[in-house]
Amino acid sequence: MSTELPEGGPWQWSLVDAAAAIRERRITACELLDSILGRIEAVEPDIHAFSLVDPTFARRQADQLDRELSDGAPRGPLHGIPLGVKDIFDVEGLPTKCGSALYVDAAPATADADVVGRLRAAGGLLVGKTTTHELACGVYTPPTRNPWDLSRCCGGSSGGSGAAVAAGAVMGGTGSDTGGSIRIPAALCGVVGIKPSYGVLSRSGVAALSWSLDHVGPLARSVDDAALLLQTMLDPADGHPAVFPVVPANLDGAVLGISTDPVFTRVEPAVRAAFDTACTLLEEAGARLVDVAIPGLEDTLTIEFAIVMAEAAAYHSAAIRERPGSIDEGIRRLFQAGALLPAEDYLVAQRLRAELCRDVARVYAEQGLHAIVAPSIPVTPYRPDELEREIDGLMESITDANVRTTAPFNLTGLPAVALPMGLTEDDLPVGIQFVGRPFGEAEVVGLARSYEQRRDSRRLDEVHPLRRPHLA
Amino acid sequence: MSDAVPARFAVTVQELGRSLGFNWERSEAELIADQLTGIQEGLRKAAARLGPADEPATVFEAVE
Repeated sequence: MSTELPEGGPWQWSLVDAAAAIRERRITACELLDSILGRIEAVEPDIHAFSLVDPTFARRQADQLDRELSDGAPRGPLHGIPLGVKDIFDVEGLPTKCGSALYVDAAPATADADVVGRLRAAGGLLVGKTTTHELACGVYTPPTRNPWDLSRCCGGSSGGSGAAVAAGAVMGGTGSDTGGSIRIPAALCGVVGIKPSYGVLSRSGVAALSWSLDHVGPLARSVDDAALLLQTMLDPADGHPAVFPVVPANLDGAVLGISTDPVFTRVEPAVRAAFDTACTLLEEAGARLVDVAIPGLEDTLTIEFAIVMAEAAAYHSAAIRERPGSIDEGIRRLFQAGALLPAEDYLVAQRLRAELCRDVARVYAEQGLHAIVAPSIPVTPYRPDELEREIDGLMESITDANVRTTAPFNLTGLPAVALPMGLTEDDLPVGIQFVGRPFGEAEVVGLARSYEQRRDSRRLDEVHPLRRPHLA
Repeated sequence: MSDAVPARFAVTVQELGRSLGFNWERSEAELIADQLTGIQEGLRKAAARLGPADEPATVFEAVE
């Protein structure tokens, strides 16, 4: 932990360091907020990561938090920490617009989403709502741009949180992940995203895309920062084991599965090179890497989209009939097609999913795996108008490419931590994911942290958007 | 529309859609039919490796 004031200002602190600085009265919540608002002013015209920034709303919270600390009553481990909330999560007093024309006139929410309430109860300070790809269904999140290269996308659908965290505009953010929507922006923006086990975090007060696949989770700049957010988002009444402080798992002796299926091996050369380096590092640390074969992985996209289209059609039933013109054509068509998908087919998809869960569980058990390790996504940061890319000689849609490496762990509900694993020759980030055993958040977070600490981060740190006063 | 999608399926989709509250032009119905066909063919192919449906397919609730 660093107690020194960063050269650029307090906004450059990690979340954990900033929380300690406030707790130890080295800075007030108001001073930290001012620094963050200054950073937002500097970068937001270039990255467009927020759908709403409300300085008055934020200052009111900061004043209250400073008063509480003066009274000797800090709320919790996030006291005074500026956060962004993806604009599908309800925040009392702010509208939830879901990046959609359907909700352009939405009234302010009357209550916080469960996890937002928990972040606030722990002292989190909400500076605004971060952008989402329309209805949380897409991997581009216009108009938000990637802080590492403004000509590139930030990913999606939690693109605003990914971009804002990477740029230093907030210290952490919330995201949702139905088919990779936390891990995709984490990979493209060079930040950490955690998709916990299905059902571990409450989705109450969060707009749905696909109930049986939706997960919520945090994004932050380090595993420690993300784990602290995850810890505060958990309902203490659930009795889930602690994930913070993170206990670094011992890589020496860890058994890590590497999938030999083209779903995970067909990646761009820069991703392959970084993943090979990561595997070498893990082996040098004493981990045993074992090849794993999971039957049926090639059906992942079919199963994922069948379930999403049917569940989204049900969730948006009124909108797709009464206001179809207010929905992006591609999304509207997917949801409307879902209304015609026979119930029989939806149940076949759920049966296939159950089969995949059994197959994956068997692989973990038979091989004694602590985690599966894979590239987060097969592609490097893409441009907003780039719809396809050639990967290993085959053209593939950017959406399918992103989803094929992430959706297997939505279908199986396993906990996954996505974090940076290196850079392309153009200094753009590429990511790795550690996928743990069911409800094994503490273990998989520990493994990811152990890797993060061993990774050669020098170049990542040197060229990080956090080091640049201006991004343009 | 994909060659694989019979024109009559697009007509069926258009009519079924109308009964469900969607007023699709024929060209739009063809695109929807194409999308549905792709998913359904994928499911049929994948389902071939499933055994008998001796367990009810339930909505996913837990990973254990």
